[in-house]
Amino acid sequence: MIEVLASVLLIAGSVIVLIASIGIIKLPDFYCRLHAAGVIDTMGSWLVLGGLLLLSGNLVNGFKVAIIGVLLFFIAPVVSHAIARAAIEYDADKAEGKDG
Amino acid sequence: MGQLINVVMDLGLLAMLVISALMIIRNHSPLTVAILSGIYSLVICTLFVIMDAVDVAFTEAAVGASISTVLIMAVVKPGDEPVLKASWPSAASVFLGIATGLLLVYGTFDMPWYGDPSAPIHHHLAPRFLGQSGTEIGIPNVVTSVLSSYRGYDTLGEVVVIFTAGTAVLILLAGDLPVEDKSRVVVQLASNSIIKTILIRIIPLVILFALYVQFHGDYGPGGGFQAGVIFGAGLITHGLLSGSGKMLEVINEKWVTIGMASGVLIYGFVGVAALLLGGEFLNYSVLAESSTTGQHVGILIIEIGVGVTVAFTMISLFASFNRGRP
Repeated sequence: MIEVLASVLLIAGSVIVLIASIGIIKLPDFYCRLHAAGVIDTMGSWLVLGGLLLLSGNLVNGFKVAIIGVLLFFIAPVVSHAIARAAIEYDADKAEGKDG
Repeated sequence: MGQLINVVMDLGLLAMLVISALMIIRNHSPLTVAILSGIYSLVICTLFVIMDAVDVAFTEAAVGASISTVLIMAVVKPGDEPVLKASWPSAASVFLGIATGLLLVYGTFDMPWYGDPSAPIHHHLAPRFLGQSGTEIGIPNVVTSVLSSYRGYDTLGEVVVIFTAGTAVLILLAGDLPVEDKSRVVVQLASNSIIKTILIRIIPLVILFALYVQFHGDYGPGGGFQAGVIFGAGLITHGLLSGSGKMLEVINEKWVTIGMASGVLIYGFVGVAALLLGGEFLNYSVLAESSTTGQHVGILIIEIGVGVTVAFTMISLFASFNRGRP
């Protein structure tokens, strides 16, 4: 039962990461692409970590996975935020034109 | 099935390495090149984890993916970065490059296959290290016992190399540098309360983790090199957040230089102490009553020496790259 639940979480996480990766390539401008990347950071990694947490077997490993989840919960959105701020500051259109 | 997935993952990651290397060659902006080499480091770090070389992966993630990227970012002023001109190479250099590459590929044919158990490297000293480490050194992590005891000379050499490289950079950057205008990255990070609130809580955790890696090296992946770079990365994050001036208020620049040298000295003194107690240079067995306790003590002290030198070299590099900025 737990394995089925874990598989569902892992597959859902992978699908979300895949969709968001397509978004990073396809979406029109910098901020839209950042939005797609943010989905990977939060939802995608959380679903994958949730699956791993269920599969971790013992308490110590599960605790470690949980710590990674908590750290990602705080760091990932802040990183997206910092990139967005930096883009505003540095003139996003220029960064856009170079590598888009 | 599992085998197939592993092969596909290895090939995919190696392909990403090649692609990012090609993109680094093709790119003209130093900032983009810095980010691309960060990506390169992250991918090769994943490969190290797959090969079970977690210690190397630690170092690569901290140095390659974060600190070196930050150092390049610190010297390139955003907005007017120099353009790296890539002109077409002459026919002679193309020929020379391709010929050397083909020769190197030809050379790899003589090398053992990846993971081949009959490769010479698994039959020379490795069986002895794996078999005897438990009784001779008495710590669970064989990597640490090889690195700091069996191969103590090499590691001393590595620490001296890091110290020398750090000193060379300091000498190159010494003197009156033109005072540049405020680094916009630094100002921006500091003026943003969201980033500040989170980072101020993360940095102590990073430093705590560095100490854990330092003292847990006998039992799990880790040791002085890894702990040093993680500690350095923690303080460099503080420097990015509030400016390298504020970072140097935590640790005075003079003490940073003294720290760089004292790590090497700590390591060397352990060797001399072993000599004075009647053993060979860096033979820790004579440091205590029983030889395994001596090995424990010796490894603990030299790992601290390694960590101190590595951490302070990283910090002083960041500080000197950022000199003249707030």
